[in-house]
Amino acid sequence: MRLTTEKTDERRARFERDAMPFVDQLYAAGLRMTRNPADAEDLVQETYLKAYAAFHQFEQGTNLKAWLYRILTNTYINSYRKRQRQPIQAPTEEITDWQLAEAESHTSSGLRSAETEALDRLPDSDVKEALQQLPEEFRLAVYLTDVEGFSYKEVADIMGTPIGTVMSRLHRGRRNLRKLLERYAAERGFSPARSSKGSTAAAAGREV
Amino acid sequence: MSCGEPHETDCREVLAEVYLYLDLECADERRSLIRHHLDECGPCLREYGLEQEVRALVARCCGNETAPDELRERLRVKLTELVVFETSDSRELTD
Repeated sequence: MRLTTEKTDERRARFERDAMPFVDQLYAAGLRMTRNPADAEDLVQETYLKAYAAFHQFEQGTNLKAWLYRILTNTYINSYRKRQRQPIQAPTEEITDWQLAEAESHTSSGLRSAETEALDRLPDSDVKEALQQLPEEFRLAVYLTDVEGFSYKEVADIMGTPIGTVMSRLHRGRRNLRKLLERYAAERGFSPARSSKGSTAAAAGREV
Repeated sequence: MSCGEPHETDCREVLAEVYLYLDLECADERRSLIRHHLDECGPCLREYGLEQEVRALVARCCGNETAPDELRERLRVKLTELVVFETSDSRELTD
């Protein structure tokens, strides 16, 4: 038995006050997970209903946003992912993370800041598209870290994995993402290093 | 990777930790070593700049969405209808 009894109305008011402000953020994350608006809406709705039903278990003063993300992620993994077509790409095989940087380092130095400029000119839709191309686990790790600013520990709690796994997903996710973005920039004619980037773009195409 | 210049911390080591640095997950001491290296090593700084750019692009382009009004309305209605029975042994719904 619980010692304190919060009236249903009070709890609903508290839930609406504290949890509802996250609806846009959860919807955005839902869109990146499910990749379509109708499923994202359903996912967010299911998340909120579960969160409300379990709200008395939420420890006040702890991280509500991370708690909601954990429910969102679990709901997605347990019910939505099964119904969705899985991405065809398998996660990139083990490449030492900085091998690529090493191979390119000297030939491309001096072009780097121009490359940064080129990436910066990409339209939002290209960046979203590139993120969508990542295998799901990489995509989630990147999203939770880069968009939501969760710490590695928080991402590990949300995804139910050890921190080392989060770091490796993040590493590989970002590496693939960068290659894709560089390819998009080259395709749009933004990249100053276009001619020398041909081989990298081809590699990214195979690998991502 | 090495820029050929002698550094207190090797370029390879710095690049291996560039994400930790970017994500503010480094210990302070490590952080200042890396910062010092980036200040004096052009190639690593450019590499860092690109990683920073990719991270910033994702943050800027991928999180900006507004949930449809119908969803908010539907949630409000559903929450009003929902009756929660609490028990001390309630199932962990988050899992």
